[in-house]
This record gives sequence, structure tokens and C-alpha cells, in this order.
Amino acid sequence: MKHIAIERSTYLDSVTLMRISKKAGELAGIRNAMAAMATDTNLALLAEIGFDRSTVRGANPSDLIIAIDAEHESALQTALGLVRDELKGGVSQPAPGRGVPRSLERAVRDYPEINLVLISVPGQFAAYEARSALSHDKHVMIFSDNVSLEDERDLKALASRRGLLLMGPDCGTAIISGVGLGFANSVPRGSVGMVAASGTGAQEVSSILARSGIGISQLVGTGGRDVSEAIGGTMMLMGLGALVEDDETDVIVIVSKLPDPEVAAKILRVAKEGKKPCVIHFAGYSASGTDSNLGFARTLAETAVQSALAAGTSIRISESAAERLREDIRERKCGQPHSRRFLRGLFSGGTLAQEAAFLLGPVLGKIHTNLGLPGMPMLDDPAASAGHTIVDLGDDVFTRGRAHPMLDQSYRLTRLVKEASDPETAVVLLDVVLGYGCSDDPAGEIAETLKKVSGAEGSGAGEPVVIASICGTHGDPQDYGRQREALESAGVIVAETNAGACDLAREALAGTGDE
Amino acid sequence: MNKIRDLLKSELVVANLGSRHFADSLRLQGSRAVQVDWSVPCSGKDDLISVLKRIRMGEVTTEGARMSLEEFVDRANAEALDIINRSHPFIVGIGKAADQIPGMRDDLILHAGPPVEWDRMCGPMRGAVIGALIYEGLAKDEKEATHLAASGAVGFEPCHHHSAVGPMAGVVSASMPVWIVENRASGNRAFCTLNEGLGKVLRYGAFSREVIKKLKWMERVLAPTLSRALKAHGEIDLRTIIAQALQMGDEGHNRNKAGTSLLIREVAPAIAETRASAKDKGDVLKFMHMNDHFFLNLTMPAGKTCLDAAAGITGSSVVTAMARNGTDFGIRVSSLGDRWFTAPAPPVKGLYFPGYDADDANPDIGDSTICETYGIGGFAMAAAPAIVEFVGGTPQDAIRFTLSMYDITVGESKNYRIPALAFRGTPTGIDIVRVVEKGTVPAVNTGIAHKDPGIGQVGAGLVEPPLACFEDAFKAFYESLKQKEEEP
Repeated sequence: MKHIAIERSTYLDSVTLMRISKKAGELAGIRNAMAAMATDTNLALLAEIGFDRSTVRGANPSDLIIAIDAEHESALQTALGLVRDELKGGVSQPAPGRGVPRSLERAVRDYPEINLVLISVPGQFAAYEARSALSHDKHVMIFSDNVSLEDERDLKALASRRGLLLMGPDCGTAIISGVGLGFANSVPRGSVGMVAASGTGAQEVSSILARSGIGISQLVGTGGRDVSEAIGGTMMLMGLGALVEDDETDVIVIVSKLPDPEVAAKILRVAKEGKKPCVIHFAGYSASGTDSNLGFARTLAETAVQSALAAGTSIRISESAAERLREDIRERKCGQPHSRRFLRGLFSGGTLAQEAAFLLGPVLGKIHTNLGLPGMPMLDDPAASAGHTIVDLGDDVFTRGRAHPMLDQSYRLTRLVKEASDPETAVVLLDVVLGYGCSDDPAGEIAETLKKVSGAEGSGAGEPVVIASICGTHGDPQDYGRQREALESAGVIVAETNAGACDLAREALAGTGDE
Repeated sequence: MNKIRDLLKSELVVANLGSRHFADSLRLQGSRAVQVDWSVPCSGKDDLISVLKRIRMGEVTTEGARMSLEEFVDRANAEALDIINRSHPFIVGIGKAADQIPGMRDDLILHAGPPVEWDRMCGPMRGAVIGALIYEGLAKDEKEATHLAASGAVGFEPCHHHSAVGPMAGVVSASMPVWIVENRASGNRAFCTLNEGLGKVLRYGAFSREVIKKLKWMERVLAPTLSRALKAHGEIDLRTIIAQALQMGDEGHNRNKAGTSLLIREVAPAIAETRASAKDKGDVLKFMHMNDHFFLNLTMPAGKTCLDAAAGITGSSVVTAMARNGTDFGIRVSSLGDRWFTAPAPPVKGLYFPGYDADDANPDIGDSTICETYGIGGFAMAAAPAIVEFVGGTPQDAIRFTLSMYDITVGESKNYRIPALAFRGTPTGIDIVRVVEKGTVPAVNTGIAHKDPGIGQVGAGLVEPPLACFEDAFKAFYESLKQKEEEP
């Protein structure tokens, strides 16, 4: 069967057309295929291969002719489809080097395969770029902070209308289809799905799981304000819904600061209706226990343990090691003068700082923080400690004109020297966060700094006890094992988890007088 | 939830806006990331940034449906691009300006660029006006012509106000022969004089006896011969010739060798068959052959017909004209009607003929920037390796040059494709929003005129249109959208 079509006024060069003709001609069931400009020569050629010239009467040299001789209809349709695709392909076929796009709009035009836009531009520009990404039907993660609450609400409303993810603003961590975005650890793919309104909280849980060989299906971030009354948990609920639907997710983990009560009720209702086992950690919410398919965990470590159980594995956070560490601490405490009596927590992860404050507050009494937690005094000056102190160094005050401490901890190192040299410091508590996006060797820098401090003071006796936890995995670019060794070489007591480190800190501070 | 499921089931491809560090991390994980070379928008100007934000964040109601301003604008721009792409210019013939150009009168002189009165005209334009008045017999010499021009007895209006375009001074008077180009898709026409060649020519402000003599020959011999040949030949598809010329090393503004050659090939047999004398036929063919830019006066009206068709689209921020009169640079925008947004014409950065330098140069002049507005010329630099000296000297420079224009256009040409870019369409449809956001102005290739009348071309090079006129247009564009926003 012979088929001829005329594409009016479509110019393509003959080499391109010959290539297309060849490709179509090679298809099964095709006797002849020709895509050519309707010049006299080509029309003559067409006649030679058995097409009736009269069918293209009226075609002129600026028209394109597609002529196909096929054995049957389906072969013809395949060939026509191929030719049309190839003709279209010429229009926006990537050039050798599509160039470096200078705008999002250009990027999504030149690279239509883009499906997510990661935004870390200054906050005042993040909202409109996000909006533009949503209008191009792309999922969005906004790492930037300083986006107004109104913009966040509008963007999330738009995203939800369009069925798109809008993770953030101020979303530090996500893992989509095995790929970490922002600050994320190298974790295996697995059956635990997470939705998190807190970046380092999500990192801590996923890392603990990963170190025990349990993988993550997806980790959807929402940004910390998502669970507020103003935002209403829009993304938390969408992420949760996606995990409920996702057939690779068997266990769901929700990590968040304490949501607005109505938002919390909605989250719990959706989680319950989702039927899948769901472990929930609302920071500062102290109840643990279960409610049908829902389990509540008090700490991030406990969240990991419970979700592992739900996934059919039990993980043991090494207690014998903890016992050995306790002995270590007792020995060092012996040499400390009584004037050393305060905790100084220097955190790069906001959620980890909060967890420490929640865990240690009830034990130590008054802890000064820059976290704005109920019932805890705020530091007058976050740059100066007072009594027991826990500071989140990722706070705006510290990141103005400087990168986040997980990227650049130079301020923390300066502060570490200050705290370690303070005669009132009994315990320095640190988090060391590893993963993609984080700085290359945080533990090495800390170790080097501590060695300098103790070198300056002569001996190790009587110095503050430094306790740290490492939030990371063996697959992380920084290498968990190497980071741990570096810390230990500088005399740092390294706990398995942030909650474990807090336990040790409490131990170390037991018996020191209150303020 | 389908879009989220799609995301979770497919390979992640991230566009990274901001810290390059995150893109590196993605690549370290074996994932694909497209780094966007982001910069603070609008050259950091707060008033423009706030307008940009309002355009990006605003909403309108149109046909009863609520949509974001950005989508509204995108739709309008897509329509403009579609019109440009579907436009199909043909040469339909040659006629006399007074008979063909709408609103043309014996006491009217058309000129290049946005409006300009005699007292603000630059040297070459004044020279061309003087020449045109002598050519028309309205003045017998320079003195009389100058007096007449200054008297207010003749009118001056931009070619662009009369569906016409003209290179350099762009002067058109009533008796001049003009190409008639018609956009087959929308039926509108555009007009342009026939190119006079190089050396002492009217468009560079020369008005000596030999200049007038040549113009007379063009009126008496060239135009009628070509016109008869065209009648015998039939209309000529300009879009196809331009498409082929771009694949033969022209970019359509500063290099027109291929286009000129293709045109000659097309019409030569018909010229040979006209009843003109052998000498006249020989002269006509030689005249076209000796002038590499003969075809420029056809790409220009071709572009004009297509862009005029894309004018007047509500919500479109596509530029429909860029033109210079040697004093001002001006642009027009699809949704902003006949308004010009102007700023002082900039100098051209270029290469000079022996004996001349930048001190001799007139500021940028001519309607030929219609080429870039149309997506060829500087925008198709990657197609013209022979003239890469203008952009840095290597074909790679030319490719980078063209690629950078995709940042400020709404799309690509469906007709004009660049071999070196794997036949990707040229960047088409300049968008003032993108221009202002990125602080990147359209790349224009152009000739350089001597600042004194009558000397002619002294070089060629690149010109950076003034950002200020785009910024003014951008603000006015937002004002027009705001009215739309406020409509009930």
C-alpha cells in the first residue's frame, strides 16, 4: 500500500531528510520510504519508485513530501509515526551542548526531562522561582529560608491544586527515589517511607536505620512551618498520602516538631486511615505508646528503633559501648574542678539541638537556648553562653553572610575553643552531621581544634568532657568510620545517637551543682 | 497524586537553582542535575525586582478562569511565537513607494528607527534626507534641501509607522521603487527599498550626483526589469530562501552572500527572458552580483511582515520591533501597541575598514535590527562561521553567542535552523521580561556608518541595545497587566 502526505512549507535540508527516509525504510514491512522536499528531481524519483505523481500535483519545492510504500497498515502507521517524530525532533533536538541555562524557564525548556527544581537562591527570590517551577508543572524543594509565611501558604495551595510537591521553604533534606537532595545521607533503598518537617531529624532517623541496613523508600521534606496553623500541614498530608499509596513503602515515619493541634489531628487521622504501620515523632511530645497502626516515639533514636521493628527488624543501639563510655566519662570527671559545672551544646542541626534541649531540660533545670522553646529561657546574646546552654548554630543570627554550619563550621570551631576554654564548662555536646551536601570533614576539623586547645592548656586532665554523636552512614562521602576515628583520636566520647549523647551528657553532669 | 507518583517512579532529574554544591552532590550520587546559572534578577534594581515579583506572583481572571499572571503572559507569548512561526513571507513584486506604502505622500520622507525630527537627526540621516529631496526634485542642491527639511514643509515619519523598514538611514521617498513582501499566513504586507550596494550610497547619507544617478538607474532600469522578471517567475518564497541561506553560512543581517546568490539563481532565468536590452539585463545581474547585501532588503521586510502579524496581542511581552535612527534606539512590544520605548543609540563595537576608527563612527542606526527581532542576524550567529571575527574569532564563540539568546526568547524558530546546533531552531521572540530579568540585551550584528553624511560604511560589528528602553517597556508592560488584574 502506498501513502503520500504533503507537509506544506516545511523546509528541512536534504541530508536530514535522507537520514529520516533511511530510518523509515529500514523498518519491518516497509518497501520504500521517502521524505523529501517536493523538487522536480525528487518528484521524478518518487515516480521511479512507483508513486503516482498526480497525487502530489500542486506541491512546490518548499513543501515536504512523505511517501511510504508499506506491506500493511500497521507498518505504514509505525513508519509515519517515526517520520513525524523525526521531523518534529529537528525543532528542539538538543544541540551538541545545549548551553548553560541562566534561568529556570530556559532550563525546563531545554531539558524537558527535569522533574524537580531545587531552589537555594536568596529567600527574597525563592518564592517567585518556586511559583514559576510550579507553573511549569515541576516538583519543588526550597532549601532557602526567609520566604514569607503568606508566600509559603500561596505556593503550597498552588502546589496542592496541581498535585505537585512543594518541599520547604527551609527544607534541608529529602530523598527522592534514592537520590538525596540538600543535606541527605547515603542510605539504601528500602521499605521505610518518611515525611519530615525537620531536616536533621530526618537525617538522624534515616542514618540510624541505614547503619542497621534498613533502607528508605522515599523521604519527603515539608519545611518546619508546614505543620503550623497558618499552613495547615498541606505538604505533610500530601507526602503522607503519597507514602500511603506508594507500593514500595511498608512503614511510614513522620518526624516533626509539635504540630498545631488541629493539624496534628488531621495528620493522625490520615495516617490511621492509611492502614500502614506508622511511627510518629512529634518533638517535645513526650508520650510514647501505640494506637492501632500508629506508634509514638519520644526520641529520634526511638523512632528509628520502632520503625525498624515495624519493618520486621530489631535494632540494638549498643549498650555495652555505652557502659564503656560511662566509665570513660567517670574517669575524666574525677579530674575536673568543681567550677566546671555547665553544659555547652553547640549544634549544627536545629532538630538535634531541640531534641537535646527536650531531653536534658527536665534533668538539668534551666537551659539557655536560642530555640524559642516553651519554658526555656532565651539567650540574651546567642553568641555568648550563660549557664547550661544549647545553641542552634544554623539560626539566622549565625548564618548571615556565612554558610550553614553543616557546610561551613568555622564559627562553631571558634565557639568550641571559647567553650572549651571557659572554666565553667563541664560538658561540650556536639552533633556531627554527615551526608551529601555537608562539609567534607567536620570531625577532622573538630578533632584538630580540640587538639590545639588541649595542647595550649598542657594536659587533658580537668578539661571539659566533649561528647558527640555522628549523624551519618558508612556510605556517606565523609565516611562514618573515619569521622568517628578522628573524633575519638581527639578524646571525644562518641555516642551512637543524639539521644544517646544526651544520656551521656546527663551522666557527665550528674552531681555537678546547679546554677 | 498522579504527578507525585510519577515523580517517585521515574528517574530524578533536578534543575538546581542556587548553590552549585548541591548539583555536585547530585552528580556524586550518579543523578542528573542541570545547573542553572542563576543571578540576582534585574541587575539588582529594587524597583524592577518588585515588578518582576508581581508579574511572577500575580493572578488574573481571564475568560472566567483564574490563572497566574505568568501563565497568562506565557500563553500570550506562545501565541505571538506561533504567529511568527506560521508567518510565511513571499516576494510579490516591486512597486513605487507612493503607490504601495500606506499613507505615503509626495511631501513625506520615511526614515529608520523611532520618530525623530530634523533638528535631532544624525549626520548620515540628514544626508540621506537631503539626497532624497534632490532625487525627488523637491530641492536642487544641498542648501535648498537643508532649508526645505528644516522648514517643516516636508514631514518625517518612521518607516515602521508605514509597514516599511529601511537599512541604515532607511530613507524612503515617494518615487523610490520598493519590494512588496506579503505574509501569506496573515495577509499583511511590508515594504523596503532595493539595496543600493556599497560605497557612496544614500542609506549612509551620501547625496552626490553619482548617488542620485544610481538611484535614478535603479528606478528606471533595475526595478522595472526585476519587476517584469518577477511577474514572469511568480512569487518567491522568502522563508525557504532564508532557511537555506542560514544553512549556507548567512546569518541574514551582516552576511547575505548566500541569500543574495539564491535570489539571483531564482530570478536570473526570468531576467534573461525579459524584453530589456542585453546591456540592461547584464547590468541588473551584475548589480545584484556585486552587492553581497542585496538580499538584506528582503530579509528585513520579511521579518517586518511576520512581526507586524504578532503585534497587538494582549498580555504578550514579545518585542515586535527594534530600530535605531542614529540618535535613539527604540523598541515596540506586542501588547503595548504603537508606543516606542527609546534610549540614546549606543556606539557599535566593531572592526573598522582601513583608515577608520571608532571616532569616525555614528551611533547605531537603521531598521535592520528587525532581523534580530525576527530571530536571525545576531541570533543566528552560530550559522555564520565566516563572520565569527565579530564575536571573538572562533565558531565556538559564535555558538555560545547564539545559545545565550535562548535565555531571552520565548522559543525557537520552526523554520530557521542552525546546522551547528544540530538543526535547532534559532532563538525567536525576544521577551522584555526575560531581557530585564537576566540583564541580557539582544545580540545585534550591524554595519557601522560614518558620522558625517556621504562617507558610507566604515566597519561592522556588534551593538548592545540599551537596557534602559527594555526596562521602561517592562514597567509599562506591568502597568498594562495591572489594569487586567484589576478588571472585575
